[in-house]
Amino acid sequence: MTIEGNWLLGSLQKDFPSIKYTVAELPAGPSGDKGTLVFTNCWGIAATTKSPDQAKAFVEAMTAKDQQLAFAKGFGVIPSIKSAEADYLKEFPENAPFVKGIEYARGVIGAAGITDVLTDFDAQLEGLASGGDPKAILDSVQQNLTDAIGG
Amino acid sequence: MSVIGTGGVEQSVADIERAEQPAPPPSKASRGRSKNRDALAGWLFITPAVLVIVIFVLLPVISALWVSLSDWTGKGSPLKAGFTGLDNYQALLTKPGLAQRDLATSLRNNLYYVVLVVPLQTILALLLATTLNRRRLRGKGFFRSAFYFPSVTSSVAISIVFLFLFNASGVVNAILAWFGINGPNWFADPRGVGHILLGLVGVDTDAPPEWLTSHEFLGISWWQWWAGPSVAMCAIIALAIWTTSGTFMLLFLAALQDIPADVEEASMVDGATTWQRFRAVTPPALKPTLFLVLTLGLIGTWQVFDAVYIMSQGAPAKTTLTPAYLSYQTSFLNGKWGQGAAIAFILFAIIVIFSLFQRFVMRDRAKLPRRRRIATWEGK
Repeated sequence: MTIEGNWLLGSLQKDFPSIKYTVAELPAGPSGDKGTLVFTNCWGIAATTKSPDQAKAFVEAMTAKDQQLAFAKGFGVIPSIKSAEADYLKEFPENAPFVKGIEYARGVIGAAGITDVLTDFDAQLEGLASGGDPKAILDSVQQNLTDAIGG
Repeated sequence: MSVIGTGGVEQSVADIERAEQPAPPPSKASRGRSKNRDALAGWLFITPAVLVIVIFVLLPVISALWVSLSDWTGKGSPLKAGFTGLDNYQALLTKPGLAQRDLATSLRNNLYYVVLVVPLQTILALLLATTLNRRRLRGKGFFRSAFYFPSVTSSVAISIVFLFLFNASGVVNAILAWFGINGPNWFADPRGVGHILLGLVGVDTDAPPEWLTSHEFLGISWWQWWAGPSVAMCAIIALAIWTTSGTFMLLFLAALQDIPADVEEASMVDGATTWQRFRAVTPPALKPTLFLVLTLGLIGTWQVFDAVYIMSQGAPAKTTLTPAYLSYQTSFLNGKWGQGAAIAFILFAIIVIFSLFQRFVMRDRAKLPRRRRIATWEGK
């Protein structure tokens, strides 16, 4: 068993096509809440571009339904728009648990200064095995987050 | 035994040469004109070098200084960025927070790195040089190339080889296993050697003493300052000593070969043993080189970047983070260009302070006033 996101599908398909697997949602925690992670990459348009309309039209074309389905087929990720959901599930019914997770999934925080805090969190977790205190670690992460985005 | 400062000798020799030249008696006006022309020609000759230095060294330094005082985001011209005064420096030095703790951690790591690498590489270089300097040694050329080889090899290649050597199941641990030692997983071990040593003498490292954890400096506790280099950092230290001692060996070797054979022979006639000669005859002649080696070593070790970048990127648990890498990470990866530049200037200040301190420690104590020294030489 491994806890992974839908981004794993593409590499499984490409590098390990003979591995058999099924996808399942994570079980609910003690309080009955379910949790998972979702994130997306983005298209950026330079603020100083000479042709903003064409750029916008291009991004719209790339995020349209059939393009997203093509992406899903090509890279193994689930589509990034709701309107593609039905078509995607029809083609890949076995990936339904990933799609269901979107309802209660949390996104990655994208505020400025967050990278430092998460890097520091990772670094502190590396010291957990050699005498790190979990409460102190979480407290410092909370403090750093408050400092970074204001709370 | 008295040693005449080499600077004094050179100067007085120059004086003598000047005195020996027949002095032409030109008129005052023509001398002034030729002097001007000489100065002009001099400036003309150094112009290309000055231009290159101004464009590629001086201007970048000034603009980095400006960036360290601004809120430049890396987009557009830095000159259009807003001036924020000492904000970037305050975030690093006086304001408690993550930036300050990261800087303190990186300074701690690098301090232990410097304290271990500089003396060890200097001693190793001196030992290699004295070994090669013996007159009857077979294969001298071979050993000289072999010892120098790590210095001319690409640091990327060496770093990757070291990653394999210090792998959990790598060569180093295999050799340790011969002696029944269960070697650590080098690059994943954030434990500090200072803490391990304290643990050996009976200090509980899971619950360190109160007086060490309750005091702090620059945002991290005394206990963390005491951590010493982590096990991962020790592997990088070994790499640094191995690669740089070859270069410094060459410098020492050149200095050793400059010692006139008759000085050595005279001391042998006086009955000095090998050890006495090594202690009393060689060091005075090596002092300028030793000064150079220590200065270059100090500067180089405070700026360590390539090995960290390739081998660990600061991991595990930020114990191999160094100011140079932190500066890179802050500006190039996190886009805080002002803060990254400020770290670079703090590092610059530290290097200057260390170099001045080292110059003060190694100053020539028995220095005669310059005039008198020349006078005695000429009066001979």
